[in-house]
Amino acid sequence: MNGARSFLELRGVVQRFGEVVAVDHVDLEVRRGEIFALLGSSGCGKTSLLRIIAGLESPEAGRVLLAGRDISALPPHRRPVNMMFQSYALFPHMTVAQNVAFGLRQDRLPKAEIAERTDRVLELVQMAGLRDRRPAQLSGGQQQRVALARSLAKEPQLLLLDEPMAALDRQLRAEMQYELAEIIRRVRVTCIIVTHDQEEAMVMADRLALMHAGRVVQTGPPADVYARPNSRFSAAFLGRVNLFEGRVQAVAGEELVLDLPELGGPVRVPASGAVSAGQPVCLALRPERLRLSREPAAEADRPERVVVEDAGFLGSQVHYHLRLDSGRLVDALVPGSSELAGLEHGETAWISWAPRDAVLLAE
Amino acid sequence: MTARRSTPWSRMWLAIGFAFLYLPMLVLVLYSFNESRLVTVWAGFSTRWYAALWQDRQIIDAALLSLRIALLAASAATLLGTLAGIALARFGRFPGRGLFGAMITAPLVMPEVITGLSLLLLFVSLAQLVGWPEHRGALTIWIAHVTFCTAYVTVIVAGRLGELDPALEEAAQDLGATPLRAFLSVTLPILSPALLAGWLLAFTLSLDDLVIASFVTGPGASTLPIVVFSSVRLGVSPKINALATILIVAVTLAAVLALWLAGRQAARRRAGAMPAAM
Amino acid sequence: MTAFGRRLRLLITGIPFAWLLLFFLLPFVFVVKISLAEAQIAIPPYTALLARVDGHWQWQATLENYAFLLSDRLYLLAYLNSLKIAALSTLFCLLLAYPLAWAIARAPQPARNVYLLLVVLPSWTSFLIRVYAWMGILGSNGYLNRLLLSLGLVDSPLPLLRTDFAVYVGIVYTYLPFMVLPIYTSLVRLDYRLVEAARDLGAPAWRCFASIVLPLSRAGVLAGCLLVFIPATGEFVIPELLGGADTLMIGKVLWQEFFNNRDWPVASAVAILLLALLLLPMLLYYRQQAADSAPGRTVAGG
Repeated sequence: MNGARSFLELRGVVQRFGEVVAVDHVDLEVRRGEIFALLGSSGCGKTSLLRIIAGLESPEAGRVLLAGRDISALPPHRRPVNMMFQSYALFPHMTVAQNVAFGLRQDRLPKAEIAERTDRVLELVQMAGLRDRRPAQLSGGQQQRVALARSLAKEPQLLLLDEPMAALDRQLRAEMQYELAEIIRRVRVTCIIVTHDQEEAMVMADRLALMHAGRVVQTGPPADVYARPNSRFSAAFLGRVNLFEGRVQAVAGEELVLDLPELGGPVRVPASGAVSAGQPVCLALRPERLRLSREPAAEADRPERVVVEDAGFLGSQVHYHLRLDSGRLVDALVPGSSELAGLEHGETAWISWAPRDAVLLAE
Repeated sequence: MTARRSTPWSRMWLAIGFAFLYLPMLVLVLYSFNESRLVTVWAGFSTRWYAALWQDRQIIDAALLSLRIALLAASAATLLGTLAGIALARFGRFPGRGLFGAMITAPLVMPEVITGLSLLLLFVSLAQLVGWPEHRGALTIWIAHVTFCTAYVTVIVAGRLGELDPALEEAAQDLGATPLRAFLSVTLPILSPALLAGWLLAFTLSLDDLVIASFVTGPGASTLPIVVFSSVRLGVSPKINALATILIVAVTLAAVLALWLAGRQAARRRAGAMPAAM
Repeated sequence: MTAFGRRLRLLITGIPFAWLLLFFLLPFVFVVKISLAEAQIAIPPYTALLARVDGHWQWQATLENYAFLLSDRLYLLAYLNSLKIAALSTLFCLLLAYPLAWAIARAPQPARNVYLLLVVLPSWTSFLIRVYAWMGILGSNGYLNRLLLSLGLVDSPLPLLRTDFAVYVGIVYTYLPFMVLPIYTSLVRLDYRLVEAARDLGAPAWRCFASIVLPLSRAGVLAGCLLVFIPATGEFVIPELLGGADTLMIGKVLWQEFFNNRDWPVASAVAILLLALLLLPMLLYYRQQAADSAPGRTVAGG
């Protein structure tokens, strides 16, 4: 454990709702100043985990430590943690300024200081001009800014965002991802974002934890988790992937020889971890990492012949469905500007890949 | 949502429905200005029955008693109903919840003769057993009215609480408010229109009750409905027409006022609103 | 939850709970008790269940009141007639209220809110006054008869007041808002695109109504019918003011036993039997309300 750098620490947290285990023995570390995403599909326990951190739910077992202090027993109003709710939960009977000042008023700060800090944080989210509006008079994007301002006003040690983009339409969502992350970095608050949207997590977060069925499956910077998934679940959840099932044929020094029935002949990959001959494994290949060509590549690259099944033009990229000799379909992505963007149904082509782009998943 | 529109058929039903609801009252109001003692024969315009009403000490006293009971009963019922509504909407399962829910729902449909009789028998038996209540009258009517009005207020309050985003109170706590403070500074203000509606409903229900009050009242405590009932039992009377008119006008004015206030609030909200696009 | 929070919860639940136990539930214990006693000319006008006879405590409960009610045709008829009048009034109310609720639910805003207010408004004025209004209309010298006479439609005044007909009119008139409101609520929630989809698929209008609109507004119809039927069964004011001497309704019988005959034990037994009769519809109403207002189980999201 890297105690010196971890700011928020969860140890063995368990939460059950009746028969359902929402959070299953979760250990987690979040570092000071980083934006950390809890990513997973609905029902994976990420929101429960967030509510446990906020103190809105008390876990059955486990501890929550913030800056080394055990805050497990503190009620939500005593925790130096503020949350932006999925519905924003803006108080409808208060103005924008009153909403933002609410938390400061609870601390009984002097009036002048409340006014000064309210102004500052409204300025930060560019909502100073609408300070006397009611939430009902604001657009979705404006409401989000007010909700963010309200949860930042108390200068919490930890900011929690629960599906921050869920209430926005698609266009606005893409813009706000960058803007929100920019504001959070500017105030240098440690932040945990709960989201089901992999793009949102990858755009905004420094590190993320992938959750499934109440457990954390993999933790790391988005690029690492994407490039080096540790399981079929991680590989498939983050982006598209082609998975080939098979087993280890032999261990040959620094290399493994794999028998993957859907790919013709043995496949060699760099040895990784402790695998032994005969073990079932899975090879993961990202569609954009496949090299497509009209002519077979050098024999050393082990080219595979494919037939184009269909092609989808996505603008910047072309998405191919390619059929291998074994009958298996694989996904491949090539840049829209490439000369290979124009392959048509029924054409023959070749695929190959660099050994370092193939990820071996042993499960 | 598809556009809503009136068809000739729906306009016809609206006309039939509202004619049925309002013609009888319109006739009542019209004939309250009738000169003649014979209620149904028009003999020229007059306000003499209003003057006669004003002279009628019995009716005036009864009206004052009814108003006093209704004010106090509505206030107590709003208090009890708010507590009960919070318990039902927010506390999840607790021992006795089923019974509690049944005691809230039953008074809404219980025939008044049963409620009235049962409360009277309670008061008589309690007076025998513990010597309280010593006399029946305004106090026992008030207790009876609080009891059945509480059920109505509870339904209104619990309904409004059920619609509220539970995240509102959580957000307040997250921002440093204790649970009690979160309720007082966030939930209660949002709930206040429902509380006002509940109070008004309780007030009119109490003002209107005849049957229950007839059972639980004692000598000397005659509410307005009791006095009116003993009069109309003997047949129609122009004085009662005048009284009915005053009641109808008062309720209509209150309703128009409420509608106007609600409309003004909505307009104010709209005036400041911007197009949803940012 | 803190100890303070727990105590606060107990207080919030306990105060209304205690009030209702004392003033709503406990009274029924006394009704049952007195229905097992005998009438006597005294204050209070009934015998004690437990009496000291010859130095011994003796249990003196009797089922005689119930036996009396069940053996006397008058009471049986009153019960049956109450059920009949309440059921038919509920039906008439439904037939008038449903199209009205539909027309309101389909009206554009802000007219819809005004219509809704117009439906509720009469129920805020005095119930007694609204019943009384029909005395003036239906009397032999009333507005309706005078109108019919002046138009030459009848030669002599029709006997309208003090008939079962007047009772039906009175119940439908006073209870109409209670039928319209729940039906309106379920109709306004109904997604009209379902109807359009059905029409698009070739269903005729009556079929749309029978297989889409009616099933989806069933909860409102049920609530409305129970809200009218249950209180109407025990109605006293309407049969007393509009009904004839031969209009037998159980609420009136109870009132007369209590106030005119001062037979509290028989009145109590009448009340208990009426309650037993209404227990099933009341249970139905309770279940329907509970289903309608059940707090949505908070799903552990994320």
